[in-house]
Amino acid sequence: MTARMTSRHIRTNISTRLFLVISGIIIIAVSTSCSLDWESNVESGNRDQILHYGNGEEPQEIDPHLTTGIPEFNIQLALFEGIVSKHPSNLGIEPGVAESWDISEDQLIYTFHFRDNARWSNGDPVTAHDFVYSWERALRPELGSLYSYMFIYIKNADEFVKGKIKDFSKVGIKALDERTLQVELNAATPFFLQLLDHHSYYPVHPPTIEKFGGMLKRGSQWSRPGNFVGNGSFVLKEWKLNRILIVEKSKTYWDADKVKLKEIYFYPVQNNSTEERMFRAGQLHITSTVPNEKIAEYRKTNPDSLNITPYLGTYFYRFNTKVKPLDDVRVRRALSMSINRKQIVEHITKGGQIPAYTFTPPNTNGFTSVAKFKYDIEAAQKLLVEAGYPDGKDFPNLEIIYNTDESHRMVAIAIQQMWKKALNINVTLANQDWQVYLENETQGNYQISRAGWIGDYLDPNNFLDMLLTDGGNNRTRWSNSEYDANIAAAALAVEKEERFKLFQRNEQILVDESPVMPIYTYTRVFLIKPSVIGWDQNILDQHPYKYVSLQAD
Amino acid sequence: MTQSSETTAEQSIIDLDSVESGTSLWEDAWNRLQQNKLAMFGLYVVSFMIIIALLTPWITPYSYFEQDLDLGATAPSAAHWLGTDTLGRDLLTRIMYGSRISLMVGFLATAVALSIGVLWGTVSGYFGGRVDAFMMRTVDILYALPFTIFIILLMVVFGRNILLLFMAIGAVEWLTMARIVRGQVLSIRQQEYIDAAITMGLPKRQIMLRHVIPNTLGTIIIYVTLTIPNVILLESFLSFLGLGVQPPQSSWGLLISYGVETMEEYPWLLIFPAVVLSVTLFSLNFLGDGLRDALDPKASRD
Amino acid sequence: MIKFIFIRLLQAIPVLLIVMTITFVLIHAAPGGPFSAERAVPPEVIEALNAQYNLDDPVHVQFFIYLNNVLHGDFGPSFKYTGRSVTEVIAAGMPITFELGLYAMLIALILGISAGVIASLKPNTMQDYVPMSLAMTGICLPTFVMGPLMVLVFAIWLDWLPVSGWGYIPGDKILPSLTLGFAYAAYIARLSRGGMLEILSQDFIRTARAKGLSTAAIVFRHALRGGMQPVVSFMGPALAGLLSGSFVVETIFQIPGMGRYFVQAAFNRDYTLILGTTIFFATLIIIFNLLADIVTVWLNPRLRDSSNSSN
Repeated sequence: MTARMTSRHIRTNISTRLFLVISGIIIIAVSTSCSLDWESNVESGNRDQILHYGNGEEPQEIDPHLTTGIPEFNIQLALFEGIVSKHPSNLGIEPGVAESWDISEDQLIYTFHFRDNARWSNGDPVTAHDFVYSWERALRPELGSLYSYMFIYIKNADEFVKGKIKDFSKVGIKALDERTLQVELNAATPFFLQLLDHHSYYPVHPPTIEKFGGMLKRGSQWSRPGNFVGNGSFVLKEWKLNRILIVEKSKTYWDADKVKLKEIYFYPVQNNSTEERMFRAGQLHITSTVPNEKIAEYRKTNPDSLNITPYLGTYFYRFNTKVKPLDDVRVRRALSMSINRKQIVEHITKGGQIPAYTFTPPNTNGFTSVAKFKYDIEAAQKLLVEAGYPDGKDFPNLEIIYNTDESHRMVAIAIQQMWKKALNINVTLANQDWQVYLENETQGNYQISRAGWIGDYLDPNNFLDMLLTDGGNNRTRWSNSEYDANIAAAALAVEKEERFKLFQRNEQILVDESPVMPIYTYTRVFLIKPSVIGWDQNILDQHPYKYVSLQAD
Repeated sequence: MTQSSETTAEQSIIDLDSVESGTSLWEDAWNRLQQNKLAMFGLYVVSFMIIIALLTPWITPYSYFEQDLDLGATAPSAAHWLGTDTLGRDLLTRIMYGSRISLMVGFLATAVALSIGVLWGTVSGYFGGRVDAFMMRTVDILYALPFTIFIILLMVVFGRNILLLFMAIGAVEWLTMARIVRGQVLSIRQQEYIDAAITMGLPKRQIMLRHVIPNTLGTIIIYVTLTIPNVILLESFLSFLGLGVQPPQSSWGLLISYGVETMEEYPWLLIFPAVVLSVTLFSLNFLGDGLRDALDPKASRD
Repeated sequence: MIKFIFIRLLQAIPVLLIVMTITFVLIHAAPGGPFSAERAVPPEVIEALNAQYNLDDPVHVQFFIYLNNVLHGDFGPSFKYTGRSVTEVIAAGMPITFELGLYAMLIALILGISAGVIASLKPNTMQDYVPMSLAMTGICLPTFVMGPLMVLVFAIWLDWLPVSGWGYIPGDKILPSLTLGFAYAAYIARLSRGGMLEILSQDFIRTARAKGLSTAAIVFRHALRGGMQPVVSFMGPALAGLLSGSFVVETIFQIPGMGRYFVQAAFNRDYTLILGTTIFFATLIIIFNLLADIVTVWLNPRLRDSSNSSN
């Protein structure tokens, strides 16, 4: 009996004490948080030149030869510098590691002269040999760089990636001396200089790479704080998985005087509603995106914080041209002619997107297609009659696949309804997990699929060569020999007019054959505090941080 | 009122044996339920929801997929009682159509979970020992398997299909049910009236069906009322994976999760679906509590 | 009792093995792979990658390599987060997730049990309806509604608390803990009310009442013991769930816990991370279901003899 009594006693005691402790904790926590009027990130950042940047996703890695994503590139842009870089607003080629370069008459040989004060963050000079080492690393198939195809314009690079050539000295990349690099191309490539600012062309510091497992080691520890050596305007300071990545101003960068920011904090905020709330509460200077439905509100009440910039990318649908009834060009054209693109951008995406009537975005490095996709319901209905489906009669049920995303879903619902109204045909929608969607699309296991293409460089070729017969990114199983020949001819052409003529012809072929249905040209819509200076708008949404600064109130 | 425990055991057996002989227990329960006003209110509301769901295709003022992009999202008005969504579709209509999916998933998937869970838990708890160890470790294994991958595979192998939805949800929801029932059975098995039943030589199946399960009913009913909302909301997660309903169809779970995204701009898109869901869940709970009281053999003597 | 725990720990070995095997088969059967990318990649590169990660071996060979590594404490490198081991990824998120889970659990147990017990003492009166209706809001407003709603009210409109984070700004732990705690409190409240009602109608309680014992004495000395059984059964898996993190809460509040990996690793086809988190969760399930069973035995004194005899 006594034992029972004490045990009960202890138990009640414990629960009372527990209750007191916990209510104590809650009260203290609530009162401290209420009494403290903390300074927001934006306020302290403006004062101390610390930029708080919502960067979408946790970077997979910051090794420039292993990554593919935009969040990673946003960080690499701070940590590395290519042979050349781009002007923050007009995207013109500017000197980077190289202070000057010569191009041979036939545009096949590029010779770069490095500046003598280009330094790695440990103080070593950046040499031409470092670039040869880095590019060999990017091309070695054993490393498995997913972006090695960016090098195919260089002589023998493609053969080296595919293992047909084992000897790297046969590839057209040579260090003539410490400060001179020579690159030999397969053909005149007018956009070659632009590629040099892509992350796959960034240099890595050979001694550091060797120290942490060598050229071919994936997942080496060289890119960790403490180990990291880079040549950019910033250097890695701290990296906490899924929480934050911090870079600080590099002391050894050749143009360090120009760099005004002290640090940049990259936050991996995946949820765009969370990100928007963080922005509103002053935790972020810049977000990676804005929920569609919030755009109107910002436009009305806070237009200074809303940034809408045209972006080099096309949102489109692929038609699988080998399945019935999409193998009939009249059906594809009818479908493409019966959607109201203007309504989609005005009422659904809402971010100032431009209705797309051409595959290559208008004014891509001076190229605008003359041939246009049309919006003409009557003509569409006629085409459907010709194809044997008057008023949608007997038209098979088609399916649109898209990866799970609110905006894709809304666009698909609208298109489903537009086709129903205009052509009286039924389509079903199927959202799929990203990987399932990719698998189905690459294997041609679909009828209509949602797609998007963001340009890597400013040239129509970047869009049009996607639809080459059996091209890895074609996936529509569409093939046209004239189209293929034009792309091949354009690659060899030196004169701009000649290339553009060939591209014009190809745009016309796309309109006639409609293997794809362009819907809109992307815009980049994000939030930015007015205190951020030098975040110039440009079509690649690329913002070299050395031009950025913060204005304290 | 004060009875010794021995007579209780006898009493319970006699009470429960009346199940065998006729329907008097159910009749009693029904009579008791009718006296519980809140429970009857719950029953009426739930029945009303079901009837509306069944009649939806004939009574909705608008079509659930017809869009009016130029109209967009509008607040409640005379034309659209609950407003319209961002594509200009009538919210009332969409909630009514959504109820068909949500109620069906809620009841059917819960029924799947209920039948597997109760059976599994009772057998496991009643037999104990190796049987229990085997059955409960199986439950542990199923808990631990990665659900997302399981759903993705299910989709790939069988394609999208409403039956699959019930299977997928049932496959996860019965596990906790089984554990709870087993816990109850373990303690019920220690009661005198079960010993008495065993001594009387009743077959095991009969003991379980007539004496053990009825005494776990109270907890089961409560857990059922907790499972239904869970299932209704799980459906929206499965829809994001591609299983479940696809646009332009909708469900309460989907309407609510989209409503959250726009709750500042268009609060009605969150409020109305959430209110409808809440009213249904409250009613189910009142009904559940009423049923629990009505079916409680001991309370009946009050 | 020691024997009972020992036997259960022995049973954990086949459980873990079976979980690993089935998971391994499931992930390799799922379409896509860790290196699928939106843009076409030369097949030579994919081959090189597969070779580096042993993905070109037959699945059963891969499984034994993996098993062997796991037995040596090596859970492999994450496919998505290149250069981080699965152990590192889990270890980075675990302390945060545990802390959040702990606060949520305390909130859930305190709110849930008190609401349930208070309600059960006077069923079908206001003392029942008020706490139970409050508990119902935790069910009607799931975490993905409750979280953003609380942020909107307390962080944005009232500006009392931070909108996100975990330990960065004082007070940023409050909203996520409450959001997660409320969801579980609702379950616990309903289960404990039901369990208590069942017990309170039993004869030994009536006897105690007739003897003139105070309500508090009846509740604490007699009723809680049996009335908590459903809560205990529920808490096994619930605790394992809480301590492995919540995808929704961690996403809404931007918390770098490990809960989000359970969903994201699956989407990324990060094979090793899926396996690692699955083994981690399986271990939690085993431990907490064992604890729940121990508590069940402790709550039912008569089970103690039988559990000893049957094992």
